[in-house]
Formats: sequence, structure tokens, C-alpha cells
Amino acid sequence: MNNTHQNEQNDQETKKILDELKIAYKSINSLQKTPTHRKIALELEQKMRKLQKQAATKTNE
Amino acid sequence: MKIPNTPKTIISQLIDPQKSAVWNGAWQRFFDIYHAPITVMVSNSFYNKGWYGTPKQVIDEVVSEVVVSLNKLFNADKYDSKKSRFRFLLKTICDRRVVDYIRKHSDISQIESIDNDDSTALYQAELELASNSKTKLAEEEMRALKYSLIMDAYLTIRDNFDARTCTAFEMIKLNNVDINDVVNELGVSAHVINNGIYRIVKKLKQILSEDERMKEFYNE
Repeated sequence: MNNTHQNEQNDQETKKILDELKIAYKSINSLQKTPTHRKIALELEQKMRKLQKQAATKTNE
Repeated sequence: MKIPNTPKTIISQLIDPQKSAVWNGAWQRFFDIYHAPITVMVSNSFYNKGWYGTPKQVIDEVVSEVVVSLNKLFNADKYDSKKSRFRFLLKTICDRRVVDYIRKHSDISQIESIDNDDSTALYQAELELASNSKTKLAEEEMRALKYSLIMDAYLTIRDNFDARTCTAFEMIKLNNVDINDVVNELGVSAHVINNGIYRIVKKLKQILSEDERMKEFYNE
């Protein structure tokens, strides 16, 4: 009886996690395809490369 | 088949002081996964400060600054995950970058009335105001962050399973494809597929219960 209850609880927990993952997977995948997302990602890469270069120059000095 | 040890989530990899967190694949993945909650937090922060019709390009600019700030913070090893929760750190950084933007552009109020601003953000803000949804705004942030965290967990374990197992899992569990179609498409038995799905779910639950940031959501 206890085991059955535990299994049911476990199944419910798994279902909840999978339902949330399904929503996350769909929404995040579609966001990644938007031009806005790609544009910010590119800008970020440039900004971070610049910061990286500045840090390297500082270390060398 | 050996089940791999619990890998580090993307956030954990970036926070880890042993790792040089310069721009690399981890940051790109971080932005891919956490773009949505950062955008919601930045939008809400503008809204809470009375900037109801903030244009999308402004939000995007601040979102970018938030990620750069996180990069600096993690690189300088200034974040202690034991002292503060990641969700509050993210929220605080979003607020600070919004304040920075407002201070920098304090003479930007060239629009005579918000009624003249017909952006979608304005309508959303008004709708939310009408439904008195201050709590709902916070809930939106929590929900967006929770989705990012679970996606982080999945993408983290994904690299530890073979491509066919992950494909089967995604087809069946995330895209509702019938298992018989997957059996035909991938040329493996239903037993092998179910076993793979079981291992992925087990690992996913393990990482959700072990990682500090996941535990905030899954053990409360």
C-alpha cells in the first residue's frame, strides 16, 4: 500500500517535471530562433571579447 | 551502459572560481537559456520604475548589459552562492542596470504623454495594472527562471547521453511523437527507447535535487 502510494507520488513528480521541461524546451527553442536573440548574442560576444582583450592588456602591462 | 556522474549545470560552470569564465560556449549557452527570465525581469523593473512603454530595443540593450555584468561578477569571483540565491542576484543586477539606463537617459522624456506611445509594452503594462497584478509580475519572473533552470539541467545531462537516446526522449516526451513512429524512425526497439528515457528522467531528477539553484525551486 505504502509502495503504491510512493510510486504514484513518484509518477506525479516525474510528470510535473516533464510537463515543465516540455514548455521550457518549446519556448526557449523558439526564442533562440528569433532575430532579436541572435542580435543580442552577437553583441554580447563582441562586448565580452573586448573585455577579455582589455583584461589581457592590463595583465601584460 | 554506465550512467554518467552528475555534471555541472551551466550556471555552476560559470560561477566555479576554478574556471576561467571568459566568453566561451558556456556563456553562449547561458544566454540561450536565460534570455527569457532576464528580459522579463528587466521589463518588470522598467515598469516598476514608471517606464511603462519602454521600447524593445532599450530592453534588449539592458538585457545585454545584465549578461556582461554577470560575466564580470563571476570572473571577479564576487558571487558566493552560499550567501545569496541566484534568483535574487539576477533580479538585483537587472534592477541596477535598469537604474543605470534611466540615470544615463534621464533627459529622454521627450514623449509628451504615454498616451502617444502606442507600443505593445504600454498596452501590456496597462492591462497588468488594471488586473492589479503586482504579484503576477513576480510570478512571471519565477516561472521564466524555473523554465530556464530546468532547461539548463536537461542540456547539462544531454551531453552525457548518446544522440539517439536524446532524440528519442525529445521526440516522445517533448514533441509528443508516438513511440511506434520513433521505433521505425530510429530502428531500435521500444524496450531500448524506454530504457533510455528512464535513464534521462532519473538523471534529470537527480540534478534537480542536487544543484543549489534547482533546489530553490524543486524542494520548496
